[in-house]
Amino acid sequence: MSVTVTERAKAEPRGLEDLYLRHAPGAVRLAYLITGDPDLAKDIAQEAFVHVAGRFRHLRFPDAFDAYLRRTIVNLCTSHFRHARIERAYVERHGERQEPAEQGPDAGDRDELRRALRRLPAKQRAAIVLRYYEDLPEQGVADAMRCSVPAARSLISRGMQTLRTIVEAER
Amino acid sequence: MNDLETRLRDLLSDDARRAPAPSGAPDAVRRARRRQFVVGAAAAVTALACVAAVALVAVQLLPSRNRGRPLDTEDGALRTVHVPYITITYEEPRVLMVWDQASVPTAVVQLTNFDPNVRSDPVCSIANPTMPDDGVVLVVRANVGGGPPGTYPWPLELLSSKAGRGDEAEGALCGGSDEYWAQGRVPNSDIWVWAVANVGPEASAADREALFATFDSLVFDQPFSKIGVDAGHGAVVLGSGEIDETPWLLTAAPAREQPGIALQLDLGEGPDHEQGGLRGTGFGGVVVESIEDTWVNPSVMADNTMLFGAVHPDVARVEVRPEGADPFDAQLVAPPASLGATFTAFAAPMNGAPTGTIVTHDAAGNVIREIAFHPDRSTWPEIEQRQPPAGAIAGGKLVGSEWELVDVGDAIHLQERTENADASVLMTAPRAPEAAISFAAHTFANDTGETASIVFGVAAPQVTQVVLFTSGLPGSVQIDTLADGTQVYWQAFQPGDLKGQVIALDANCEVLQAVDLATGERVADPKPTSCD
Repeated sequence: MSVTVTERAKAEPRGLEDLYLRHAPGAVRLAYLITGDPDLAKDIAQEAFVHVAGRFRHLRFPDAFDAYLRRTIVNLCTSHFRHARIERAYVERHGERQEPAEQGPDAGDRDELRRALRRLPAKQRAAIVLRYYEDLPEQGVADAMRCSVPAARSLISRGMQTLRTIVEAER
Repeated sequence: MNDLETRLRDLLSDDARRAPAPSGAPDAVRRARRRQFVVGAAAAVTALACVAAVALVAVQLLPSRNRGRPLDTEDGALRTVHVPYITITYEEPRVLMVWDQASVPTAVVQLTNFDPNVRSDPVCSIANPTMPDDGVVLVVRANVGGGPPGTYPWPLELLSSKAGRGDEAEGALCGGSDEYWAQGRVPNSDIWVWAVANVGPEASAADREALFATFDSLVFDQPFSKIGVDAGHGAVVLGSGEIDETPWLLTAAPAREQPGIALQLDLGEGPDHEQGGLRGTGFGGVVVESIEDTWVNPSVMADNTMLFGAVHPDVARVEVRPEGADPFDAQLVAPPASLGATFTAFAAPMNGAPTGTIVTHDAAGNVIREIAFHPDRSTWPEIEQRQPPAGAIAGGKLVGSEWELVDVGDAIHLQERTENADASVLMTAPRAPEAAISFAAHTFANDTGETASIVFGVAAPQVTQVVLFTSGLPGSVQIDTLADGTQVYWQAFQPGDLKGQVIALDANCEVLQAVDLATGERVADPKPTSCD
């Protein structure tokens, strides 16, 4: 029998903990794929959970906890990069951060693609992760990013085009 | 699926396996039991909304074919607005007002589900003590260095105040409503926050829930530089969004030092240039006293354009036609009725900095006006003026044509100088006006279709001011007094559509005469105007 999120939340004090244990791993993975920073990813996942769960009683559709959590993670990730950019001196517009050196060997092509992904603007990167890792349809990407379907489609398309260009340029 | 997509999926799956394990549950759960949190500068939160914007990131990689494409603003019901110290997210439709006070670094925001009398103080204050029975209002104030000393619980929670429902005593502020309040200091900062919410007795559960959700969405962060809002004045937020992930804010407020409404666009929250800065006309706005037609201002930032302006309320649609790109409709926003604005604002952020045309349509779909826009100028008259040649009253160059006004004794001639320095008379205005002013007008056009016009004539001695109404904003024309005391008025404007009036006023601001630009005939119903 499936237990809805609403019922879980009512089963305090264990409810929230169960909720966290169930959703946190996926949240961290999503944040890590967008930010590339493991520590930041954990922080963002926790903050997102706190934020969404803390508002739980205000969610109109409590069963959509997943969607709310995903959306909050995306927002936190993109906001982090926006503020990081403000704090630092002017940076190149096509790369907010350099990917830390990979540990262990990796295929050259994969490294190249990973670097290209990290050079995407935060929103394009988030859209691509949602599309190609979370396997969300365009509507799902739009919901998570709180934008229209055409805007989501454009983010994905531009991101892929930029990836393609960067990868080809490095060859 | 193509090769790149396959490689991307493999990479993401592989990287996902390298993701760290989550932090421990107890801490997260403890924090989740509170309903609000604040994150410092390293990771700011924008609650359950992000402003959708298609970032034109690598201009070098994605050049001109993307110019003129609209940047999607927020879609759906949720809107997030950034002002100094406060980021607020709420469900539309709402009226958001912002105040800023230069004397103390402060931001005040007010959110209502009704028109709150935007020319007054915040709702439920002495100056504005009532609200509708089905109304909800949230007022939040954040300032630096305020608040009594002491330790305050964080995150903030709206607590029911002692007044509560039932306090319907005459004169009570928003009597009959449920009142909630909260105050505290943002952890690890000197930002003091104070908030009060009032919920009317007939307010819906949805509006009540949305109010609390908005309170929960609040983020308090010390700004790097200010965005928006003239000091001390409440402004209504008409639009918001992001360009290249930098926030913009379109507001309207009563003008401070003159009649009219100030329509203002503010961009960015970082050092201007580091945020992509501004060029061209830059950010800013216009004071609109009365709008007869359309005013357009393109503000270019980081190679993207924020086109905004004001149109007459009869305009039902503002179509933007960028050169080389598909046309699209600008976002139209009518200010709340209590502002008393006689215009509708529009905003149209788009990629690149194209030239193009704005076409306004009425409700029947008829075209009212077409106005060219250019990234480096608004529809203010852009006239190149020069020292007039000897003997000339005035002169200059318009859309490539050299012109001059010359007194020939019984008339004023408008002449065009040709390449061989010959002058050809284009138009004549009698020196002795039959009424208050004589009138003549001429339109120049160049090979690319750009037009500019000059109106001119002689004004009788009792005329102290001549006002021109055209497709731009009304304004006084130039008056030159000749040696014999004759007053010659003239004004050039661009584009050169002869639609509007010239109005002569005396020292008491009484209308002496109004002339239709197109016909040159006297009109019986002059446009409402005021004197300088």
